[in-house]
Amino acid sequence: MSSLITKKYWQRPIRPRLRSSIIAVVASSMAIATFGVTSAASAAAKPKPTITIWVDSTRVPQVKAYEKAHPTVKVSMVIYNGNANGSGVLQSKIALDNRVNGGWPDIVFSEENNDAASLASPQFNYPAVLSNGTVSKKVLGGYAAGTLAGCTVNGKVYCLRNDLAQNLLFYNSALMTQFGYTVPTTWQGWQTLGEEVATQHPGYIVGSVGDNWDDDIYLWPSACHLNDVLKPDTIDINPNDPNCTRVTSLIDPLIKDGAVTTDSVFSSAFATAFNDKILMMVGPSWYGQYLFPGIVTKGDLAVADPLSWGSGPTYTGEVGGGLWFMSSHVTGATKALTASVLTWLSTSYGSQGISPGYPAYVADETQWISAQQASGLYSNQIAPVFAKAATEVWGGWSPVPWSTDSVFGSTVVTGLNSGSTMSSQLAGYASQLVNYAQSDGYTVVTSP
Amino acid sequence: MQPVVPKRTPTPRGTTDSLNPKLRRKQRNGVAGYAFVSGYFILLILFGVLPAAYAITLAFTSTGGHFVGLSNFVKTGQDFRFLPAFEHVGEYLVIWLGSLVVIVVGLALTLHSIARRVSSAFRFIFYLPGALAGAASVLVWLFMLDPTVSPWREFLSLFGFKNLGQTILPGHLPIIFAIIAFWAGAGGWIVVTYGALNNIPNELIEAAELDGAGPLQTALRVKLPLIKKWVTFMLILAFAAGTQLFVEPQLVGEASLGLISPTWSPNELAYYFAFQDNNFNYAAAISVDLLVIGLLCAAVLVFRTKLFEVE
Amino acid sequence: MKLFNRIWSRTFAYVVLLGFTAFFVVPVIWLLLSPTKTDHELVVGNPFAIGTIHNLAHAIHVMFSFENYALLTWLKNSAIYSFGGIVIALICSIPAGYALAHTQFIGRRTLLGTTLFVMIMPATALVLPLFLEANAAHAVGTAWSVILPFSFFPFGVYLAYIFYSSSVPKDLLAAARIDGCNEWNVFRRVALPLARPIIALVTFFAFVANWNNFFLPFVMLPNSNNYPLPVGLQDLLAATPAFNPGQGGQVPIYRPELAIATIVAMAPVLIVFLFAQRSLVSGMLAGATKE
Repeated sequence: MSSLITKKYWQRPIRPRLRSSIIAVVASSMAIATFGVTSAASAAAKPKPTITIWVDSTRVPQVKAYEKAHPTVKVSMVIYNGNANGSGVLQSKIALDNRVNGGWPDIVFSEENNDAASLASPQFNYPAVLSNGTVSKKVLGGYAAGTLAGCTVNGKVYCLRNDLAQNLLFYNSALMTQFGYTVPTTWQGWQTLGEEVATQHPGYIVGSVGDNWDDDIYLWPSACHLNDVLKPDTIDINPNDPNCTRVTSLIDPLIKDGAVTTDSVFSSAFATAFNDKILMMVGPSWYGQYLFPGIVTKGDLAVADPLSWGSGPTYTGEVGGGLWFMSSHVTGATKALTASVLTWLSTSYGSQGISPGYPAYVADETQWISAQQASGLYSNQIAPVFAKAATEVWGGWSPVPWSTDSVFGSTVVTGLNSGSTMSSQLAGYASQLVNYAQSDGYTVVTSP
Repeated sequence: MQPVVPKRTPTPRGTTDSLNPKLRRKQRNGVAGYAFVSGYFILLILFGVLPAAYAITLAFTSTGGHFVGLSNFVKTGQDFRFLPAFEHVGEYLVIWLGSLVVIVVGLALTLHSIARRVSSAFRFIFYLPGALAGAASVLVWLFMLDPTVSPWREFLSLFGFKNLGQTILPGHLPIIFAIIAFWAGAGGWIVVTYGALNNIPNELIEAAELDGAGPLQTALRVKLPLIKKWVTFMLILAFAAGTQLFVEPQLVGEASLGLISPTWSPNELAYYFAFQDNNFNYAAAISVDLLVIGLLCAAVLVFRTKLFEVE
Repeated sequence: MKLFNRIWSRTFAYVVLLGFTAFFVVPVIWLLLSPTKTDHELVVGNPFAIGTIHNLAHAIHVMFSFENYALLTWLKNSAIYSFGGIVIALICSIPAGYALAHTQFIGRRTLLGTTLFVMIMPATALVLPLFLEANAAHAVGTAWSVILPFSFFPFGVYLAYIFYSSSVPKDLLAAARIDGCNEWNVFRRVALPLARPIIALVTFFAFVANWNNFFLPFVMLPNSNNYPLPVGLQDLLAATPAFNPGQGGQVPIYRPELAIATIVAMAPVLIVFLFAQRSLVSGMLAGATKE
């Protein structure tokens, strides 16, 4: 150790090169930092935008189209992730904005269906009520019947729908002809067909239960009471509802026989195993554009009306669809302007035929349908099927602040993956829903 | 295990002052000490102490700002997600902490015993995963965990997993998260530990070898005790990081398109309360729970190993 | 017998090291090969298959031009925030670590304890108060709201503290004091040059922490033009069909393009690592005594 002391290290001057290189690094870093700060500051000091709109990347063309059509209105567009996948980005930002009482975006687009209930709750209190005259009754009436239910909380409409994701029955017309089957019109008929397929053509499937939104595909259309908000803060969650148990009893034998798979439809396992082996599948309208191309030969895909349970009205469910909100903190003249922007974004754009999904606004649907039909994806006329299904979405599966899909995924789908039956998982699914409801202050009742 | 360190003859503390040498030096040191820490001190207050104090206050108040005592703690403790979250993290912690410390120290010692250039290359390789930020590694793990596309598919098929959903069944999650967290975090700790080992004077190691110690003995009886402070520090931080698990359940949840509960770990539950329920007080209560647990572990380790004492 | 022990332990060492190499590196190799394949090939082909340069070029082009070269904007922002934070962090942390180890003052241990306390506090809880502070200073949305909190780097202080207290002997500094150096010169001329490896280490870890930090920029920066890479990547993931099947269809970013974005996010960290490694390897002794 003594050798260290004899060096008198400190008596040597700091090596000049080292010193100058240190200075250079520090100076350049400070220069970079300052430059960054000044450019950021100058960006913040731009002339005040009139309307701040938050959208995801897919909606960017819509906002740009608005700007082009209305050059006098100042618009500031912020691209974010659309609150997708339950990321809660919108909730985080609005929670913080509420704390500092400012900074709310004027218009937001959200892909998350629960956001109507979540953001309208007293904790967030973000969206403006639209049904009190803010948006004209004419416009509100221009949406496909029943579709604004997804935006209605406690009787008030809090958002406008962008596109719909109504469930219908997709099938492979070529395979159906080849095997000599007829398209079922009832769920019971679907099950019978599934059993036949399992014996006559193993390896082909008639459906899947492997994704967390499958409750919207199978339980919702059955008018199953697991998510029915009866009145403010009262929800009906009944796992013993025959409407719920009939679904799981229907599907379990098919899963056992392999006619319904438990793979996620977007997984590689699914793509490998079921390439051109999907005989039929109930799913949301966007499956046509975003799932089937690539695993169904082009031109073979066809659509049919949603399946019914026999007696009573035919219901279907929906999986997704976008929502447009307007801030409740906008007042005065700006409020009218913001409402007009909101209305335009939700209604006028679709007429340009490039809406990504089936437009919720009826007047925009024709153009969209023609574009889809012209793409050669479908082998039959889709217009009547899409339009009819849009009106059949059951209003008893309500938007709530928690994600029923998330619970379904972590209880039922997980149970299926470990080999349990769907029926055995229903109670667990329901009890978790009850937990969430009670934790959010809802009173839970059970009535069929 | 007694550290094998050659004895050092104590050198008298050098002084030049005649009267009250100790006092003089202490005064001089005191002022200088304050000057050196001043910059950091300001940052500590602004971005450490004040926010922490605010957060702790939140834990004991209600949304309106009224003092509510332990009410937030009781209410969050009774939440249906609270106990499962802590159970999950408990299981995770046992696997993660044990493997992290043992493997990191073991690998660092192994690296230290081989040639410098070679160990540089290994250290770089071990660090590679650490460069992947949380969001960036979602893509990687989506593929790694899916038995149909993963490079590890032979290994996964040994367990009979047929799809992603089967790989991430609830019982497997603590192990999977521990593997992911280890994969991303070990490299950094190996670098720190290796750096610590590198600062051991060669004479000590040579002396031990002259005394007849083999490589394993040198590692365990000479090197390890000399890096005690570093290992303690790593343990404290790894324990806190483990109890505050957040990124791994989020990213596997995202990769699987939502098959994992968004409140799997307590920290996720706190986040959920803060940003999904807009209840920052509940979130603060859970954060304080985690803080207390981390501090207990830190206190035990600090006092047992005298981390704050200098020679 | 001794030789046998030596060979055996050396072989064992290499076997262990190579085993862990496979564990750490296989996913990274997969990642590097991904952009050379098409999305379909990724899903159905062999994970280790090598694709074509054409695919690679396509993926790079699509990814970089996405959203008007957003990736480059995020890169630039990340660089600004990270380097800004590092400079201030170094200026504050190294002297602080030194002082905590080698000077006596009242409150030394309290400072150490408080630092540890703040490090252990969950970040979730600190987000809101930090946001409120930034808002009070009208700094929300500016680079300073991110750079200043980044400069607070208690981990760096601890690294410096432990390094100075275990590896720099008091005698060395005492000898300098005997020679008449004042405290500042003792630091500048003795302690600081010896700390080259720890400066490299702190710089590296500060860089990584800042580069990969998601939560703070997410909260402080509402405008997508100011996003650093982690926040931008998170948005990107939500926009792609791979993770958002229903809504992401319009965005032509598939998994090979995502792999490019991931590699771009990784690369600077690894480059900084390589530079820092060189200082790390030298160690304290190389500076002080090696003849």
